[in-house]
This record gives sequence, structure tokens and C-alpha cells, in this order.
Amino acid sequence: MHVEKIVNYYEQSPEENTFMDIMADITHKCNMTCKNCYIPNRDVPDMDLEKFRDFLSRLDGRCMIRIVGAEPTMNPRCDDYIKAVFEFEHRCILLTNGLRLAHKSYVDKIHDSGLRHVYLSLNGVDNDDWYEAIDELRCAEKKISALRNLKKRKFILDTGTIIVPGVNEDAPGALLELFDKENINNVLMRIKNVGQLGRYQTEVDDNVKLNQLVKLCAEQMDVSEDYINSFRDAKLYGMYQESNSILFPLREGNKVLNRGRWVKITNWDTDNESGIPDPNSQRRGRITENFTVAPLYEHIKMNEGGY
Amino acid sequence: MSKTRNAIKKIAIDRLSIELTDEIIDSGKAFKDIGVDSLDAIELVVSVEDELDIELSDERLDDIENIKQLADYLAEFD
Repeated sequence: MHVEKIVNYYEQSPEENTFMDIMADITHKCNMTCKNCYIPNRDVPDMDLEKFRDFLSRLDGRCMIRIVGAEPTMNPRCDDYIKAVFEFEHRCILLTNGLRLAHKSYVDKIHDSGLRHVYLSLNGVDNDDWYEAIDELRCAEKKISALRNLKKRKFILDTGTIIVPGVNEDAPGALLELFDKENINNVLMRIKNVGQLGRYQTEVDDNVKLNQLVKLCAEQMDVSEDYINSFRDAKLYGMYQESNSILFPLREGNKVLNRGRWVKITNWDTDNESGIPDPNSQRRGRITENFTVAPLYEHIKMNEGGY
Repeated sequence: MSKTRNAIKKIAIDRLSIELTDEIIDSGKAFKDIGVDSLDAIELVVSVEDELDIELSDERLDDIENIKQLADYLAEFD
């Protein structure tokens, strides 16, 4: 651990919060054992719901609360955490591996809680060999069932795919083929490299770099590298892009985020002095064990192997 | 009162906690000036489609910059 290099660590009370996006790790339990996991410690108790509600009630301004885990659906009261977010008039997205969302009844349940936006991890797309190599589970069928259930209930859909060298470098194109097949036309595909935090399978030196991610997407998604790179510093929706990300629509001229097909390429590599992705980011925070808010990546690094 | 305009108002208050009066809608103010950002806007669109069982055109949506334009487009489905 290189805590001495993390120069920008701080915590804020909910009233002082300045982060737009706040990660709420409502459980550290998981039903998968992915080879890339930034919080592999399973011994931490579930987040206290009442303390979470108190936290939400004290936040200054409306925030995007990212309900996350390990696997958030492993918390039996996941829907109650979601309801709490809406009760206090914040926004909510659920980040999930989707195994439980393969059951229509579970998708109905989270829809009933008010949730409309889901981030589904699709590291293997529809390829069981890729899932086995990255996530240690042949789960393509369940992932596709989850996709279908989410489409039926008209959820706003983000997908997440980690590109692992030598395994799934063809994933960007495979995602498009899958979405064509499943008639999924509105989606934000988040493509990233391996982050060297917690448990990971690719060292910094072997990792796919940001420029290579751009190249892979350009080659497989029928857009040019110049087109993708033109969005590097573009101001979209009144905000500049995050320094480690490139967000762009596949259809030129599309102005409506999450409508049509969008791609967000993110550099999760830790090839910098701090050893974390996107050091000094002021966009994403994380709820700490003490119900304060800390910068996401800095907090993960400070607590690596712990919380 | 049009069915689609009522749907926008209901969804704005239920989902976004934003009260949209006819005056606000007809003012032609940009989304951001009434507290609706890009994610709110897509949630509004998706929820309206779901509620009214309609499908809006991506190309038409590209040209919509304020709540009045959205309301006018939706009125075509009344």
C-alpha cells in the first residue's frame, strides 16, 4: 500500500458533500468470485439501513447514489435502500452482476422500488469462455436473461466490460452483435481496462492502455479513432469529460445520453504516482464506514483489503 | 388538458421532484434552467414512453432543447 502517495485524501460530512456521484457499498457479500474486484473483503457487515437513511437525509443537494457492493442484490433489503434514495429525492443507479436479475420477479421488485437505471456488468458479453476466464463463472445465459428482463421493463441501461489482454479484446464488437441480436438500441457501454486495486489479474505493465482501448473500439464499432478522440475534452451536458474517460455516441450528432448507443471508455489503470485510477477526481465519492464521504479511489486505496 | 402534458407533469413530480406548471412548460426555458439535467431528461423520456406506451424518435429527440419542445412533440400522440 502506498498511502504516503495519496495526497488528496479527505472526508466530508454529508452536509459538506461536494461529490455528484456517491457510491454506497450496501453489502460486501457476493455471489461471484471475479478475478478483478476492487473490494474483495467479504467480512464487512452490511451497511446499516437506518444510518444510510440518516446520511441521505443530511446530504446537501441532489446526488446520484450508486448502489453497489460487492454484489448489492446479495443484501436482502436491497430494494429498501433504493426506496430510501428516492424518499430523500436523490437519484439512483444499481450496479450489479445481474445474476439475480435473471429472475423476472426480482427485476419487477426493483422496478417497484422506483429504480429505472441499472448498470450491468458484462465482462464476457455472451461468451462463457470469457466469463470463466475473467469472472470464474460460466454465466452468459443468466446475463442475457437479465438483459432481456431489463429491456422488458424499459430500464435505462449501462453495461460494464473490463478488457483483459489475451482474453476478451474482441468484446466491443461482440457487445454490438449481442445488442443487435437482442434489439437493444438504447445503452451506454462502459469499456475499461483492469484496475490494479484489491484483486486483479493484469499488472500495470501488461494492461491495455487508454489509447489501445480507443483503437479496439474504433476497429470494432465502425467509428474512427479521430472521432473518438474528438470527444476527449469535449464539453457534454454542461460538464467537461472526466480526465480518465471519453464519452461518445456511436451515431454522430446524437445529443441525448443513454438514448441510442453510447460508449464510455475509461482508464482504470493505476499507472500513475498515486497508484489509483483518476487521482484527485472530485466527481465520485464513497460512503465510509463512519458515514462520511471520501474521494472514491483514494478511499478504496487507503482501505485496500479492508472496507 | 392533454394526456401527454399531464403525463409529463406527473412523472416530473414523481420521479424528479420537479413541479412543472403549464406556465413553466410554455416558457420555453432550457432543461437545465428548470433543474433538469441530461440524466433527468432521459428518465423523463423513458418514463413517458413507458407510461403512454409510445416510442419517440431518436432523431426528433436530438432537436429538443427544452420542456416545451418535448411537450409539443408528445402532443402529437394525444
